Amino acid sequence: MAPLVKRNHWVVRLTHWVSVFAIVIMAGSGMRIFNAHPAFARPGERFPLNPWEGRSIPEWLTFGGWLAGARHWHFAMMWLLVANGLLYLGFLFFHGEWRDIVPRRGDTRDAWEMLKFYLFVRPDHPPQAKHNALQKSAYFAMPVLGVIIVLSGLAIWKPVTLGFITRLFVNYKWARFVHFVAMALLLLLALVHVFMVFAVDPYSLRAIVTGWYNQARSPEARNARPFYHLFGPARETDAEREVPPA
Amino acid sequence: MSMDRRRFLGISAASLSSALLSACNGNPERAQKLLALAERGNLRVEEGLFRHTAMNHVAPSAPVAGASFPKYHISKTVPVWDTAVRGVWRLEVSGAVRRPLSLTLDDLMKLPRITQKVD
Repeated sequence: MAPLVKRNHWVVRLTHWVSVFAIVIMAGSGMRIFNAHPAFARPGERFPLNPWEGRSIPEWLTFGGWLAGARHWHFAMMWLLVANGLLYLGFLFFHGEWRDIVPRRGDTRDAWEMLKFYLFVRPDHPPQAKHNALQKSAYFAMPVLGVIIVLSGLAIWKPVTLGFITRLFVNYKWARFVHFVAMALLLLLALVHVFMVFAVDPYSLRAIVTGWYNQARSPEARNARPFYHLFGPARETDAEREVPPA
Repeated sequence: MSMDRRRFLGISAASLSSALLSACNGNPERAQKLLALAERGNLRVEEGLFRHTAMNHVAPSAPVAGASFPKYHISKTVPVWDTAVRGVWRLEVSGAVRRPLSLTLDDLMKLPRITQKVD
């Protein structure tokens, strides 16, 4: 019998998929808003930190059609994003799942071991709990980036009335840059996350939809690297049926 | 994976992708109602949080406009156009226009008027 474990609580699953929807809309509409002035420099100044200063983001990445449409979507979806984020963070704290994600002593060493394994320097998958150390760093960084994005977003939404937030980022120009960079980092993390889900552990898709996870198919059990042992070693089904050794 | 699990995944993938594809149109009619609702909600949040009475304090460091009118500034009084200092007030329509104009207030009042709601 497949050893199924309950891996993801329904709140985690719900907030995960709502986040997917909300972040796609927020990022797309945000990029269309950015394209209205695709530069961080104030008029008459230079902003050497952005190598693509003045270049618009490709239209197929944007959402909302025009600036007003994009703002409409951005300022509507932000409520869903924040409510969903607070629900997730609140649940994480009160239900104890934060222990799976907050970095601990020894995580740096474990992350290094995971990297060595992925680079074929180490032959066997390091032992792990629910998430390995690389996953933990990504899943920890995402809400942190989310908080930074929301704060910097508030700073550029109401830079005079919420000026005390804008001043946290020095001024409006830097708040806008932080907002954009944090979004870019979050999207990069999300891209790596999606890639790793399909390349290392597509069985986790079941867990993030129904909550159930087949432990026998975990990356640790399969010694899985990206696209390596994706379907597990040959004799796995025999092991599941507990065929006695010949 | 057993057959019914494969079917489950196939059906959910198909329905998810079709839902996403239909959502790719950024302005369906149903969405407009939700967006309008969010817009009204945002206005009420702004009116509640940013009450004019709470905001209507001029910082002591705010500069006096003086001859800098009509540039943007914070003033303790409503700025008034002083004809003796600035001359006759004119509305200049210039820049990348075919027919540059320089209109006095009388010229403006004589022009035809139109009211138009833009969504």
